[in-house]
Amino acid sequence: MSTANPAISVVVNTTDRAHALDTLLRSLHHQSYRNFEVVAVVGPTRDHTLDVLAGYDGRVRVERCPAPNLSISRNIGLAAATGEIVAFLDDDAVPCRTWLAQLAERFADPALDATGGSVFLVHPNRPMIQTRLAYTSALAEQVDVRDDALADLPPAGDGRFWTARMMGANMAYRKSALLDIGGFDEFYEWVFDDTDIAVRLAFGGKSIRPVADAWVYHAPASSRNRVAYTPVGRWWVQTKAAAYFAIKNGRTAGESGRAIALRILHLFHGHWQWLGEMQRAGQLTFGQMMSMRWRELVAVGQGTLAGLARPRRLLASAPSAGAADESAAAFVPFLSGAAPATGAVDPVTGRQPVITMPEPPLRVCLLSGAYPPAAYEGVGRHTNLMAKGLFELGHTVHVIARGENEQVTFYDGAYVHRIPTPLTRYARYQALPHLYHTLNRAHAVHERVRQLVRNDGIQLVDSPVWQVEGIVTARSGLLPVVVRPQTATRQVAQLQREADTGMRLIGELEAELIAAADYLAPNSQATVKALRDVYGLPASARYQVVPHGIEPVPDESVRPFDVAAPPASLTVLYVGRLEQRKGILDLFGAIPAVMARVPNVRVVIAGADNSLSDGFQARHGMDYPAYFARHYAAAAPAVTFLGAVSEEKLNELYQTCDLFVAPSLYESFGLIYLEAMNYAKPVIGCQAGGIPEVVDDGVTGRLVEPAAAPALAEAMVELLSSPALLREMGLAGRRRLLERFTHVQMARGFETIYRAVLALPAGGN
Amino acid sequence: MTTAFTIGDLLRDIEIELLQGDVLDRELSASVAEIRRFQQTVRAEILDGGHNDLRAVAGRQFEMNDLLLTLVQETALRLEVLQREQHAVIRRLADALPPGALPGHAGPAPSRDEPATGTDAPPAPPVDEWTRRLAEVEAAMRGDALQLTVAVQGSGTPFAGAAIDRLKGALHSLVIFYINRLAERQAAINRLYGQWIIHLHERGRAQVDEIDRLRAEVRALAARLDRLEERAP
Repeated sequence: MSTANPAISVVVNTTDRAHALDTLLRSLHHQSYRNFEVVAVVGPTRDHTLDVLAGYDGRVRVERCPAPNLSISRNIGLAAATGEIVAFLDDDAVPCRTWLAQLAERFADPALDATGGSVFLVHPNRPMIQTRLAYTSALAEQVDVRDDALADLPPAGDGRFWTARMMGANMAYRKSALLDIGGFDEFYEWVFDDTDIAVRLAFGGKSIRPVADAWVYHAPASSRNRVAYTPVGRWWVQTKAAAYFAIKNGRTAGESGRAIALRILHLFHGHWQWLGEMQRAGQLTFGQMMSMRWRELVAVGQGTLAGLARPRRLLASAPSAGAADESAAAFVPFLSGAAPATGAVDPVTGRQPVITMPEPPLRVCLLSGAYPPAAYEGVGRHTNLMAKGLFELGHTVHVIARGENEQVTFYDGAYVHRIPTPLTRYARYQALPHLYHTLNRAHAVHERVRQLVRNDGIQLVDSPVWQVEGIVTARSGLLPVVVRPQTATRQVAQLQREADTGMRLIGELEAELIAAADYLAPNSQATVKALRDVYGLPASARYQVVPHGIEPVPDESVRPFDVAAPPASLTVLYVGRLEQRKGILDLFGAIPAVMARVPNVRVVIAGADNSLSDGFQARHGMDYPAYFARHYAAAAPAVTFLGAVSEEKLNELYQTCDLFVAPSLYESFGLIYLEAMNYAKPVIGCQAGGIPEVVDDGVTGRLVEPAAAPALAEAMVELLSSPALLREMGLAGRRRLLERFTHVQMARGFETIYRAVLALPAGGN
Repeated sequence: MTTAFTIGDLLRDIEIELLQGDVLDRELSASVAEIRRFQQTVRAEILDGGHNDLRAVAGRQFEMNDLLLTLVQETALRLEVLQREQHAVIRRLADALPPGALPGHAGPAPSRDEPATGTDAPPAPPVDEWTRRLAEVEAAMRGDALQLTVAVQGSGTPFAGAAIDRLKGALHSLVIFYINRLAERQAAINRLYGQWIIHLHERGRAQVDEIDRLRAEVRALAARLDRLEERAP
């Protein structure tokens, strides 16, 4: 029997992981499929698991398992399940939004008995694809096919019988199929329960077809069997289970006694060696290693003896499917009535934002090639702050970033999907490497977007213009695309007078991306003007300016100027690359004049020297610091060049300076001024680009004409001579930031745009 | 050559790649329909665009496309047959064992609504024939497979011959230029078909191997069964 909308029982086997269980149960509110019940089978617990479940009274059926044995627990869940389909989910995992919908769709095929999807290990340090289209032999050889389902089939190995298998964290069965084979073999107290069931189903002629989709995000929590994120665990249990497995299933599959014995020895030897490696790597003490090796020896003997002498321990008097249905309790849907609009859930910590909103939360995908913590670049930092802000508003955020291997982490409120760029398409552009890579990257990003649509039901994509990563998605019409124009390749190419064909074509792609966007979100009016000048933005284009926002530092980190106890010397800070466009020569010109009128001033200059790229070295034969030392020798002792600095150091510089100066000739926005205002520092900038939209002249600092060193010196002297101004303007800057430029306010701006875009008729652009 | 690319080229190539992704993801019938739709668009662009001199060339290209399409359908059909065969072998493997020989397996597997293959020993796939066809497809997929070069026969006219030849050459180059542009787009479509065929073929081959393995499994188990029966009192 098979229906299009089958009742699904989600069975969660849990012991002493109350926090993780709570996270999972809250995340289940986001499932798009509604016809499911939840059966929680609780082992011998000592924590507050039952209190967590009491919060779901009437919505989650609770069964008790007397023994710390996963297979017994699974059988209890199986017997209690009233759904046609039984889906097993680990208590420390969070399924993607369409997990159950995808499983239900698969089981619409009456010939299918078992399926399951990929599992991403959301590990803070070693994230990876934990399983995807896995196979096992009857000799307990497990192979994960992570890239290509067609490769190496049947897998290389000693076993002659191979079958697909699913991981216990993400597996689903037709209940009748499991009952036909007697459910789980209760010899397996931990691990190999999922593999054994797959082999026995295959022996029974059942159809097992796992899928690469139907994702589950697995954030491993500690248990009695292992300490999460460490090699410490009862690994000998695995050896015992594998030995038993190889004998039971190997014999059924007709493997020779010699093959089975060799396989068991191989398993034992592998664990023995691995423990030695862990000890040499300093992850285990010598005592721990020897103790675990002894247990391995005992375990292999236990597993072998059980495999040879003991009959399988299956579900007691396995009832037929029909009989089970008749005797079972009533099906109680987990999501009954109108589901409340609950915010996003952090799958690792379980945190949910405190802000409640009247409208349902959104599911958005942000694109950013570089992304923290791997890389702190302009677009990546901005995207990171957007993600943080959107999470605080309750939205589920996915970020697609560059990575050498495919992996998913949860970082700062967003699922971060790092994906590589296979250079397998657009071969005719190979002679234009930048363009060739850009096109392949955009396509790889689009493939991930498609997967996210299938798995997490994302509603729209937000792409920066920079690197045109959203161009393929925008052209596909798959989802609405919001575009964030900041500084773009065409602008850079024009500034640098580049005539490269690849750059020209990328500039054309930028224009296409802007034209195809459903909405534009420039960061300032200055950017809007640049869009008109550089891309000929039509008057009909939909756009809304969303200023950058940053995360306010805590009040205790803020250091306003102390009028009562002024410092012995005043510190002026400059942050930015050392190049002409940033006005560094104007600052050089102003410094002597300032020092002549204000005693005890020192200047700190933080930023990488860019004299080679901007042509300064070619003209002057030296870099900026050397130029300053030669031409302003008298002032040089009071000026410190730090070069590029870390995030930590940068924050310290902002915190300890008295005045921030950045006389940039053009900034599309001017994030550096906000960063100084965050620490209640007065700022001086130029009347150029988007800077006046950030700095309130005379209130939070001063604005001077660009490329005017005397005016800059005058403004610096005015502020440095007045402790009261330094304090008042600094505090005014901090207030302005809190009122208008936080990451949450920025996220609100984007949220408004996203909701407007989703309200547009399809193809509205 | 690289400077000749236009944004139009880029956008067309993006469209082709998107289409290819769709083909690999969708059900075969929907994919074939999608390819046909794309082909209709190209056909309309070329044949209704007033390029009368290219009709014959374009017509032949479409014939080749249809041929490739047929190959796709044949491959799909073969794959479907193989899938049924695989299920049947698995069933036989289960049925070959005595009741209770497998854990939790009380007898023959329950019957499914599955069409019987109707044959105990399906014919082996004609591997050589397939290899030959795939080689042809791969050759046709090459981007330059359809490219033509200028070849003008000398007129032999005294005095004005050289000028006439140059004029003929120039006109011929113009025609060849348009034909090659058409050929470039056709090559992209051919690539699409070809990759899909190879994809299906690979899947088919994997299934053939799996069936062979399962057949051996059945034979081994049947032999074991015979031995057990012989030993039985």
